[in-house]
Amino acid sequence: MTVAAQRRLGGSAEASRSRLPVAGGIAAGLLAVLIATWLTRPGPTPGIPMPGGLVEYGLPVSRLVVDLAATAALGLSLLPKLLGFDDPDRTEPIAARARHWAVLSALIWCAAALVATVLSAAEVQPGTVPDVADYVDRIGSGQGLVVSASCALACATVGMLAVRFGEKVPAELRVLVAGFGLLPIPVTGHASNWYWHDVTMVSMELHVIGACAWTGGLAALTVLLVRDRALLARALPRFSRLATVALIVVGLSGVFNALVELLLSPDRAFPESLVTTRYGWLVLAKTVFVVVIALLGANIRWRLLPAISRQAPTALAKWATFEIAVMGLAFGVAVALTRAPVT
Amino acid sequence: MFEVARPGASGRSPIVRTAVVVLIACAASLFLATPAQAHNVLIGSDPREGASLPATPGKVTLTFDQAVRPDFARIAVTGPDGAQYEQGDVGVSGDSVFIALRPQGPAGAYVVSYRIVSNDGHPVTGTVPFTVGGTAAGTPGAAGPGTAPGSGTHLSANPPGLGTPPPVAPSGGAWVWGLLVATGVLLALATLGLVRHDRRVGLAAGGTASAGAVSPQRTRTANPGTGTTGGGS
Repeated sequence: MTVAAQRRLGGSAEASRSRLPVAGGIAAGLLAVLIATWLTRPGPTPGIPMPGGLVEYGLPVSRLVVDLAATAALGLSLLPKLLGFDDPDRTEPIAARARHWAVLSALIWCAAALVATVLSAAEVQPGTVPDVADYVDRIGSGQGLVVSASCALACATVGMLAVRFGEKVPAELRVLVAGFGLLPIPVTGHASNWYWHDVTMVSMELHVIGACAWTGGLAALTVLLVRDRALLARALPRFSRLATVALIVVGLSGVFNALVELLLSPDRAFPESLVTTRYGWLVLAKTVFVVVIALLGANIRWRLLPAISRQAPTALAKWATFEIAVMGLAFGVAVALTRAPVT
Repeated sequence: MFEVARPGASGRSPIVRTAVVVLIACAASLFLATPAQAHNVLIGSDPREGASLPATPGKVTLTFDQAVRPDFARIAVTGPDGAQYEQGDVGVSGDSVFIALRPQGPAGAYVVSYRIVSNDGHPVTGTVPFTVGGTAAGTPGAAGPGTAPGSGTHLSANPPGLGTPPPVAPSGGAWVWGLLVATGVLLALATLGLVRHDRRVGLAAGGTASAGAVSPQRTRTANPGTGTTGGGS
C-alpha cells in the first residue's frame, strides 16, 4: 500500500517534472499573447459597441490554443520518424504515448478552432448573439478556422486509428494530415498584402509549418525522451538537422513577411515604423526571441549534443525547457501579430 | 542491397519527409489561399481629420487603401451633445464607405467612429474627429425641409440595430449552433474513449518504466473509475 503510494507519488513527481516544458511553453505563450493584445488593443470608438473583454482577450487566447495544440499534434506525429523503426522494443512504449497525446492534442485543436470561430463571429457582431453561419459564409478567416477544425478532426481520426493499430498506420500519413491542418491557419491571419499576395502566402505557410515542426518536435523529445539516454542519443541528432532547416526557413520567411507588411503600409514610412508602430515593436520582440532560440539551440547542438551522443548525463531538460518557454513567447506574440494593424 | 540502403534512408528521413510535407503544403496553399488577404488602412476621409466646417456635412466618407467589403461595416457620428447624427445604412463603393448625416446638428466637436471588417477578416476600427463651428444659417435652406423630419423619425427607430446588414434567417444560425454542440459532444466522447483506452492499456503518463508493475493495478482501479464516469455522464 505504502510502496504503491510512494511509487505513485514518485511517478507523478517525475511525470510533472517531465511536463514542465509544456507548462512553461503554455504559460509563456499566454503571458505574451495577453500583453501583446493589451498593447495593440484598439482605442475607444464612441457610438459603435465594442466587443467585451471575454471576446477581446478570449479570441487571441483561443487562437494561441489552436496554434499550440496543432504544434503538439504535429510534433508528436513527427516523433516516430525521429525515433526510427529499427528498435521497436525500445521505442514502442514511447511511440504509444506519443500516439495518445497526439490524439488528445488534435481534439483540443479542433475544440479551440471552433471556439475561435464563435469568438471571431462575436468580435464583428458585438452586442448580439453572434451569427456564426453568416460570419463563416461571408468572411474568409472564418472558413479557414472551420477548415482547420475539420483537419484537426481528421488528424484525430487518423490518430485514433494509430492508437488502435499502432505503427502500422504510417507516420508519414499522420504528419501529412497534421501538416495539412496547419495550412488554413495563416489564411486566418493577415501579415500578407494585396500586391504580393501569392508569395507572402507561401512564405507564411512555410513559416507556420517550420515553426510548428521545430517547436512540436523539441517539445515531444523533451517531454517523452528526456529520461531515456539511449533513445535520445539516436533521436536528437536527427532532430538537430530538422531544427537547423526550420531555423533558416522560419527566420527568412518571418523577416520577409514582416518587411512586406511594414513596407507596404500606406501611411507609415518603413525604417521608423519598426520603432514607432506597435506592429514594429512586436516584430522586434519576435526577432529577439528567434535570436535567443537560435542561441539556445546552438548551445544544445554544439555543447550538449556530443555528450548526449555518448549517452552521458547532461542538463538537456533545463536548456530545452528554457528554449520551449521562449518559443511559447514567440507563439504568443505571433498570435497578436497576425491581428495587429501597422499602427 | 536493401539492407544497406535502409540505414542511410532512415538517417536522412526526417528532413526528406519534412521537405516533402512542406512542398505539398506549398502546392496546397495555392489552392487554399483566398483571393484577398490584407489589412485595410484608412488613408483619407471627407471631412478630413481635424477639419473645421461651417455646417454639418451631408454625409461622411471614409477612404481606405483598398476595396472595402460591405459585410459588418459600421459608421457612427457622435455630436457634441453625445447624440448620434448618422442616418440610414452604411454604403460602400470601391475603397470607400459612407453614411448620410442628419442636418442641423449643433456646433461643436464631432467624432466619426468606424469599424469595418478588413479583407483578411479582422475588424479595423478608428475615429476621425472634426468640428462644426460658426453660423449654421445656410444649411436649413440647403437641406430639403421634407426629408429632415422624415429621416429624423426613421432614425429614432434605428439606433438599436444601427447600420447592421439585413438580418439573416435565424434558422441558419440555429443549425450551426446545433452542429457546434454536436461536434463538442463528439469531441468529449472521443476524449472519454481515449482516456478509457489509456487506462485499460495502462499507458498513463509516467507508467512506461514500470509498466509491467503498474498496469495490473491500473486495470483493477480503472474499472470502478470508468464505471463512475459512465454513470455520471
